[in-house]
Amino acid sequence: MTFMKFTSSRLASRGRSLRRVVLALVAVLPALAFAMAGDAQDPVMRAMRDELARSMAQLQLENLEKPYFISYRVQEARSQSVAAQFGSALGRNESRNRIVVIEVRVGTPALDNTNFQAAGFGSGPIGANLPMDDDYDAIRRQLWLTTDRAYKQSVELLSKKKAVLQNKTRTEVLPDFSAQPLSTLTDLNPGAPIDLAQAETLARELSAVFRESPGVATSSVRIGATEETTRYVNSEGSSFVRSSFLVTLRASAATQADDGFPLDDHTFTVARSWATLPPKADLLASVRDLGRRVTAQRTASLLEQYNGPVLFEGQAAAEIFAQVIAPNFSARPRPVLETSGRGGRGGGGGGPAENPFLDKLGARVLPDFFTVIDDPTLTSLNGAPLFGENRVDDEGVPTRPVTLVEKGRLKTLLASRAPVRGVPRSTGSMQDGTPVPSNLIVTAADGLDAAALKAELLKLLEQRGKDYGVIVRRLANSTLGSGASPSGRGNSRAESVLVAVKVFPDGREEPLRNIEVAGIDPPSFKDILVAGREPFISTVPFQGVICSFAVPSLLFEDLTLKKPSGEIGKPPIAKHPFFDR
Amino acid sequence: MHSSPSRFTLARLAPAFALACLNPTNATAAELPKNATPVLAAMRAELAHSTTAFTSQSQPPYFLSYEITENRRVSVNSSFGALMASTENTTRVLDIDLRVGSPALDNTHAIRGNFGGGGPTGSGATSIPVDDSPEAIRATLWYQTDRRFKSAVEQFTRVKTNVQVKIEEEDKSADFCAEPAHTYAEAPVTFSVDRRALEERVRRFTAPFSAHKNIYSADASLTIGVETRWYANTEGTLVQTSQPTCRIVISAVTKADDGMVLPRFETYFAFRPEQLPSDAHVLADVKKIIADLEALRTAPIVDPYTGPAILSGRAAGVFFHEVFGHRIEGHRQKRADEGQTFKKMLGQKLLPETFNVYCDPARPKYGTTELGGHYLYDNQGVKAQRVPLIESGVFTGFLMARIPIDGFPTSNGHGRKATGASVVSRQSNLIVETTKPVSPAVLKEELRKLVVAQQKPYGLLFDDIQGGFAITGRTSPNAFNVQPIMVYRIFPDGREELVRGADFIGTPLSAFSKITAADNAPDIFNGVCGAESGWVPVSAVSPSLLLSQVEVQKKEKSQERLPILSAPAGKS
Repeated sequence: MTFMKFTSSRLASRGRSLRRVVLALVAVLPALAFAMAGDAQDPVMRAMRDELARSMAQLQLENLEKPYFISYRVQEARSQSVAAQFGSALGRNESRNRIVVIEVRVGTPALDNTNFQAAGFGSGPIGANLPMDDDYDAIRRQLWLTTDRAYKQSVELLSKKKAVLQNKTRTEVLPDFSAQPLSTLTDLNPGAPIDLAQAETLARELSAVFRESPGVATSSVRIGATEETTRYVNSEGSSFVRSSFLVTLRASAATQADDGFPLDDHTFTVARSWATLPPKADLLASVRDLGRRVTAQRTASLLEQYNGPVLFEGQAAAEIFAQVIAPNFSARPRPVLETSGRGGRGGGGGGPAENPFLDKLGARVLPDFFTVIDDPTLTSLNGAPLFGENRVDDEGVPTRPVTLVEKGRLKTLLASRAPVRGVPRSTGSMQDGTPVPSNLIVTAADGLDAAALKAELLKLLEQRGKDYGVIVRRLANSTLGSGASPSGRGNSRAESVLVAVKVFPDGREEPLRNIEVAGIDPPSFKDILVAGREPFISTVPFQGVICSFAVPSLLFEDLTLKKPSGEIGKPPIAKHPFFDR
Repeated sequence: MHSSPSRFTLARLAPAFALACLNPTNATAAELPKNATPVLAAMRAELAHSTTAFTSQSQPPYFLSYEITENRRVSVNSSFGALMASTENTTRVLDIDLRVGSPALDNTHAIRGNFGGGGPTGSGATSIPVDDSPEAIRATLWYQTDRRFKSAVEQFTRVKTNVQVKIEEEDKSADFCAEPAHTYAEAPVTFSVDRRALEERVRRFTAPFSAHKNIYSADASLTIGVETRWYANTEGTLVQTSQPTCRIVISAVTKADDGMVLPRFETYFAFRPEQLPSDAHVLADVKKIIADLEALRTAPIVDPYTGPAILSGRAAGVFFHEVFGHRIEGHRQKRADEGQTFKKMLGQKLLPETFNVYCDPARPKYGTTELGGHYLYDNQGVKAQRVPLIESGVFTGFLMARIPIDGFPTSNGHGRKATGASVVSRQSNLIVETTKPVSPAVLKEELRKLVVAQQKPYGLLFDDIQGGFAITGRTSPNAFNVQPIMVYRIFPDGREELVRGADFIGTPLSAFSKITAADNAPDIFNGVCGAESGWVPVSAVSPSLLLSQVEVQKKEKSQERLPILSAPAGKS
């Protein structure tokens, strides 16, 4: 019943894009058959269901508790990648693997073995490699041994956790696991493997562009394609099969200024298939532009220190939002900690700091013209593709749009089935072991266009009697291999600035380089004066998961920018051999 | 083949000549050998370009070498008859040895007082293009050389300070030695395998384990690859070698009812796929592994014991590798924190005079078995050579890289490393031979005689081993541990009984003094050896040995219970 209702509503919401309509015809209707009857033909799913049923019925150590919940998540990945440097291939890689992640819970949903950090002991779900062959016997054998290991760990953890709690008063008693209606889902978005020779040729061609950039010291182009298929069953009867396919293309370039300061930049492109990558001419243009950007940075000027209004445009706005605010949208329960014997004052001390947004539910976290929605149902925004789309999360919870901030006020957080204060139910956001955004859409009421935003900045300069202001246009992203600041992130929550300009009252711009955004934190965002009308869409890995961020330009009233501190290596002694002629 | 003597050589002959300077002309003058690919030419060109630029520096390098290692490899794995992994990749990585200062004292000098004793540490290998494009290869060489130069200058400053603040070193030998230049190039081995066929094959190797519920893991891997290396240095050495290797490894594990983990391994090595054993051969061994594991599960546990024992050829090979081989690696005689067991024992008798021991990397085969520790040039471009270690029972020498020690000023072609690590002296093909072998039956008879003479209830036969380890440092007891898998008690009446749970332990000199005889059936262990310069392929060859006394201790035991449920019944 649940399943039927869910599928039909999904079909309606997905009918908008042409691609989705086609997919609905080929995949979703037969999906019913696959999920119900087809299961019986899938040896992997059959092995999972059979071993799970046997474990729930029989797995028990004498005098100890039986599991009350078991889930198996079998993830297989087929990855391909090529890379090139300076027109020459760097190597290729093709791999497939299949792993299982097993969760065995003992105790009760109110108090079980999870949300507990034992001293010097693994506490999370247990994983193991599985055969890539759809071999029922071999897979079941591995599931048997891994479930055994997971169960033994769980009973041991529960007894340790109970022992720790005997001597402690919990300031906050929340259940460890929230209830969830049954769901059975199939969401298949497979992709054809890419032709590695063709990809290598493209990588060579794109990377050869740097033979025209004497100012660039090192560069590379990487193309990857990954198909991920996930099968899930749990002892409550929920299950899903989900697959996705993404092609990524990353180019990066680095050099040093004459004074030795490191400079770099990157481009990152995501597509759902080889065919939907941008045309080669566009890719070539974007890599050329990357070379030009890095070269231009070499002659930009340094900024000693700046306090005043800063306008984050385009990619920089999306990155600063993703880096500074977005991590706080994830709700993670604070684990019970096992102290190592000596234990001091016994509580409160150790462990990860609590997410400050837990105390902000219902309160203002952004100016009141902002709304933030995490919408995993969207595949595009204003005609541009989004890549965080997902129908079901890693715990089998169907996803849905979640309004996180409405008129500047924090409504809820992204959560898994582990409840936190104020967020008792899963929002279907669990990916790779932690709740993460999918497509995070930030909109500002009464947003301005680019020219009007710059005019606002100039107006502020005049009001404050400042000689100049700063516009930040690109920010580093460490997972994409840039951000070569000599001091790393320093103390900042934001990566270093890649492209920025000084803006003078007459509107004239002068390029800047090597800037750190000092002291920015989530409360800094409450001081945004005005935002842009059109969001910039940035698709980047966020805590290991590809997420799309749609964020308009942001004008901050007052931020501190400075040049990085630390020791800087000198530029190369010999000239680049290719240009040393 | 040989270039004219460089100023480098002069520096060694006259240590007072403190600042040897690098002479870029040697590198550029060396003629490219026939079969050289554009990679070697690009390396030669960039050696000249970078070193010319460094002449403007106050402290230019006196030595620079590039080593590019290409690995083309297909690797497939199975477990219980199902495919676990299948990978195919090609990588090329660059290693650079750049030295500033002089051969007498340079940036690689061990810094004393640091944890682990300092010494050369690898700075990691860098990916370099796999296409033979000179422009792209040189771009990477150029950039990495610059980085290495800067860190070398920094390190050399630390070295100079350290030398001044610490007490005088016991071993006053130089940090580097001159070696003649070589030019050599063999054509890169072409490589094409049918990965699907290999996958089928590796599945077959572990399928028989599926029927055995007490076997908790059963894995096989089949790896076929070619390693092509290009080496060029400022002395004019230009070497290009290409070596295919194939390995099959089978491992399976059972547990005794008391939780003791009991593994069995089988490995096969060959240079070419067609020389690997047939499926029928491997499957016969798999059958034997299964029978051994079933027998081990219920075998009695051996109590701590001292008494006579036989080490089978493979066990004896590993024993020599751990107990002797690691201790005669030259660089260990120089580090203040090393045990230096054999340093002062040159010319002394270590074994009965019927024993000869040597390392010979140039040798590709022993009998009909191929040797994994074979190579033509080491990782410092030095030609492989046979090194006598024990002659007629007398200790004669060390394995040397280009790291001189007192009395051993030059390399003997044993400078080895994995990519990304710094070279130290390592073993190659370690071969133990005897001039007075006896038959295996006589060796067993000798054992029984010793058992009776020593009034022991039984002797031990270590038939198969899993591996071992040796501790050579000074901060811990200088012990070795050889981990046998198949151990038999041999009773005075000739009865044999399989036992489990014994580790063969001891200290090197006392163990050596107990070796009394060897048989005429040498066996070969082809494995990989891990030490501070990474994992390198090695072999050990030895006849079975009779020791008048060994000591065994109880094996470490897992505290995990057996699985609660029995293995699932198959449904396929």
